[in-house]
Amino acid sequence: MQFFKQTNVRFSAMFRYTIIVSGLLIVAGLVSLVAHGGPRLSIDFTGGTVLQVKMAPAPDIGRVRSLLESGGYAGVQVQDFGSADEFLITFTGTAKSGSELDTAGAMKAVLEQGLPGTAVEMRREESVGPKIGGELKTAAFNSMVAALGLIIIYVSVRFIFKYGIAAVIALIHDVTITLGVFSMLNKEISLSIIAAFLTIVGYSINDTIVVFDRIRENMKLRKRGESYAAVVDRSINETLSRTVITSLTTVMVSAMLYFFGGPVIHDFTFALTFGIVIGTYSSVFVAAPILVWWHEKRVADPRRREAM
Amino acid sequence: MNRSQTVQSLLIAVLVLLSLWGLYPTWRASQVDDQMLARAASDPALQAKIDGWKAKAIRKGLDLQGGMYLVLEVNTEGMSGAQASDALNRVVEILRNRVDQFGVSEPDIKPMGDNRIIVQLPGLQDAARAKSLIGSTARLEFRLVRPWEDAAFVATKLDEALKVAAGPAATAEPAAAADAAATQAAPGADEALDDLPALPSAQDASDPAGGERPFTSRVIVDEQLAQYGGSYMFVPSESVDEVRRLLAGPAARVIPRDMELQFGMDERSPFGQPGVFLFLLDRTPSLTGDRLTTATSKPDSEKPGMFQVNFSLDRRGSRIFGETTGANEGRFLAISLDGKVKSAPQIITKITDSGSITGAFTSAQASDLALMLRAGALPVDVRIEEERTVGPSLGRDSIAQGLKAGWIGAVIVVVFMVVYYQAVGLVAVLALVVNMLIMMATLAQFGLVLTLPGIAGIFLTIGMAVDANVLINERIREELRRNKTARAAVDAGYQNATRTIIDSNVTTLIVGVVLLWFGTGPIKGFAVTLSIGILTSMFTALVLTRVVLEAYTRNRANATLRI
Repeated sequence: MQFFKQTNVRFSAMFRYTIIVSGLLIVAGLVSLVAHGGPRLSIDFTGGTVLQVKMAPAPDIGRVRSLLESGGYAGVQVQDFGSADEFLITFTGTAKSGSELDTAGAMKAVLEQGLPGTAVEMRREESVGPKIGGELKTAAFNSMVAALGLIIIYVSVRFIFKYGIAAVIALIHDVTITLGVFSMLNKEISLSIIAAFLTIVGYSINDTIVVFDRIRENMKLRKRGESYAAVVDRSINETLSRTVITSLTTVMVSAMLYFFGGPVIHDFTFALTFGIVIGTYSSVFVAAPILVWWHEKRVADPRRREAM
Repeated sequence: MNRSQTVQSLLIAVLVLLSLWGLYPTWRASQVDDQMLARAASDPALQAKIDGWKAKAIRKGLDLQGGMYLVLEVNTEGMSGAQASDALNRVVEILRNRVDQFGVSEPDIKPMGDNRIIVQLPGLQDAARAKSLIGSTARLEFRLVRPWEDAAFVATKLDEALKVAAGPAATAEPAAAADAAATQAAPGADEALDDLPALPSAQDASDPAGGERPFTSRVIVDEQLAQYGGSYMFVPSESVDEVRRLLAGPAARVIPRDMELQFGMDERSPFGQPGVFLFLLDRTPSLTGDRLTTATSKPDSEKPGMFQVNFSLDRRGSRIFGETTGANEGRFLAISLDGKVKSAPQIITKITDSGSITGAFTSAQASDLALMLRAGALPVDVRIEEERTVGPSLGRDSIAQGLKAGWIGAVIVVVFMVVYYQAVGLVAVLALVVNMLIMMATLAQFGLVLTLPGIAGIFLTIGMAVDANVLINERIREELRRNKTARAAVDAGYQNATRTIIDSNVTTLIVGVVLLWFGTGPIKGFAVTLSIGILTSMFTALVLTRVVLEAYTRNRANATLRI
């Protein structure tokens, strides 16, 4: 069985259309980010408390919210989480009263008092102080920069600098679009989402390198009169089968994890699944065309032509 | 088979056997059920076996087995580097002592950096209790309650100071709140306190309270109160926040140097009105908790269902305690814990070497307090800066869901590979299985922690591990298309694909290492499985599948490869 026999698609010619698609996605994401005043950061970065509670019998979500609001937790967020009797309660403000040591326990007490006869089970509680939140923010940022920097260095050493830049532009493209989609869907950026972003970076670069590797190989066997764009197109076509199949198998796994892996890793696996798709797209439609564009610009430059 | 192939085959066989051996304890540990545990209770040999398996099994992260992760910050302000690190180490020691006595299996408490401590308590059931056990300084102090005259004097002084501080304009807003407090206070107080003179707050209803008497309009100050709680001042619940705020301000400077105000720990309603007592105490404690030799919790002899903490003192402590109680018969002695008064009994007679702390303790509270007093007070305050707790039921659900989702994904991949690449696909599937085995065995062997994202990482590696095989298989197909023999195609396929596989995996590995460095807890688990998975999948794709395929096409120049 084979999906692709020998394809011969002129990918470099499609760049003018895909740049519009990418541009639209990026702009939509940026608009959403600006409208929301930046990405929606989780308590990992802002500081605050998150509770995952299971209540039997399941109360009305509005009742839970109003109880906590009036119990001194103004601005509390309550969401359904996975099932009807499970809620995710997020509180980032400072409680009017109650023990500073145990916000989670105090909130549980408020619920138990307000809903007599309801069993409140604490499934998960997370609290992050503002100081650690700030540090985690810095660490997350540094890790992104470190990952991108190391990748530029590696790709530049193994290939040439131009390839490294093209690869990293594709990576930034992937992360920006995923970030934008998270903003549009009003999903939170937490520590684990940052981990997912880094994984997307790792996956996308993997894909890009396979294409670049083939371009490098084919450049050595370049036929007389074959343009750079033609070499790139041939390389993408030759690796297309592998690109699609690898993405397919990886997406199959991450999609299953998304659908059946439970609510705790729901956003994490969503980011992975989406990122893998966008990462595959960008290796073919962003990273490779940048190489072509860069090359043609250099050829067009008369001062450089001598040097080629 | 040439020599290098023989060596490689042997290497693979040894690795697989080692992996199976490494995973054996994990398998046995997973087979332990309640029935077996019941038998082990009376059979130490079996128990030892089970413990052995568990020790060598794959360690589950706190998010899978349930448990608590805390980051504490130690307040080392104003200390020199050496003092701070000494304080940090002492806190770690005391916390270990407390947790050990509390009975958590395999706690992990270690310092991090200059002023932080990481506490990990697997399998914990009661998060609130553990937090109070770990976060409390447990500084026990005995302080004499100042006599009524002092209380009345300080109350008057506070009124004057606060009135000046507030100025004429500032009365409007607090007045409303205090009015409400006063009117609410009145009925309950009147009913219950028949024998008490009219309380100041009750008289106060008509007064714009914040103005004339900012302090006594919110706090009931009366000599007779002492018989209810050992103090002459009582703050109704609705005024507590306001009074706390007032006392935090500059007006508190009028309190004489040798005295100190402390709130009561528990809410009380001595005459039908909820609130807390406010104690005027000696600034210098008569005795502190470091003179205690033992502390135990006992049922309260007077209040059925309640508990108390009995303690005994060392020789020096007994002498001091004897002197204090002997010289102050009839006065009240406040027992204060971390700056809040737990109880303030009246001194009836001289006490020397032992005593008890009473108050509305539940059994758990009393035994925790006794435990903390035995383990000692922390030399400095700590604050919980980060907490992540997962209940055991969520951990179980996470494992079940994560595994189910992963296996569904894995099966789809396997079916796809076999359908798409046929025989060569089967070889790739074999590589996946071996890959999984080595990964899991590595986790078990090096005591690495498996988390929920880690499970996702394992299955994700399956998706990605296929990649190397796909690269090779696609290359072989290309070579076959160029009419090479099966054997030549396999050779050329591996030769060309190896470089690509290494380049593309190194970059992913870079990300794995960055994640290892940056991540904590569950994310570190993801980085671990991702990184191991990349390495093992490179090995299985480049070595294992090659040996199998070369063996298949060996000496068969005309062998066909269905791919």
